[in-house]
Amino acid sequence: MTPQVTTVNHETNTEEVRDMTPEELAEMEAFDVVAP
Amino acid sequence: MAIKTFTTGELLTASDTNTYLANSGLVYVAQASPTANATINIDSVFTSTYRNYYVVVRGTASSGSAVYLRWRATGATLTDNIYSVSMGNSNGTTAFGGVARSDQYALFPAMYPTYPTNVTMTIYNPQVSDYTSFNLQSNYPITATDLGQTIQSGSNKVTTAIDGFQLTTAAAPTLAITYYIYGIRNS
Repeated sequence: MTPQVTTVNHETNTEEVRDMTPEELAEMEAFDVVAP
Repeated sequence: MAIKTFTTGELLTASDTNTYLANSGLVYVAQASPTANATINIDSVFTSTYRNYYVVVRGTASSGSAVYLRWRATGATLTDNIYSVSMGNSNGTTAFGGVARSDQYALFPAMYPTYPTNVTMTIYNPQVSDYTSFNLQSNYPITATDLGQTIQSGSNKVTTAIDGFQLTTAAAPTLAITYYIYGIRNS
C-alpha cells in the first residue's frame, strides 16, 4: 500500500488525503535517517 | 495596553472584557486531529499578525519512528533549506546528546505506538524576512517504563516566509497527531 499524505489547510478549513507521489517516496527513502 | 489593573469598586464593563480578554498573551489560531498518515501537512496557519507562534503537538506512530519537520509555504514543502538541530536526549536510564544536520529536514521528537509523544514548540519569525527557527521540548514514552525526552532547536538558512509545516517519517508508519497553534501577541 502506498504511503499517504494528509494536508490540512486552515485557510479553507479543508483536509485532503492522497497517495504519496513517486518523487516524494524517493525523497523519503533518501533521508539519512537518525534512529529515534 | 495589554493589561489593566482594576481597583476595588471599579465597574467592569463589556468593553473592558472585549478589550482586555482579547489582549491575552497567547491567541488561539488553529487546532486539528488530521487523518493519520505517513506525512501530515499543516498549511495556512502562520500569518504576519504575530511574529512568533507557540505549537503543542501530541502524537503516536503505528510503529516506533523518527519524525522529521519541514517548513511549508503556499502549499509546497521547502526541501532546499538547510536545517540544523541540536538535541539532548535521555531514555530514562542513559543520557546522550548530539548535533544532527541535514539539508532536508529538522529532527522532530520520535513517536511510538500506545504512549503519546508530547511536544511544545516555539516557532520564531515564520512570516517576516528573517530566518525561521524553533525551540522545542518533549517527552516520548517508548514504553510504560522507558521515558525519552529531548530539547531541540533548529533553523533554516534562508529568509523565505513560511505559512505552515510538515511532519513526516522516512519508514512510512502512520502518524496520528493532534495539534494546537497559538499566536504570541506582539504587543
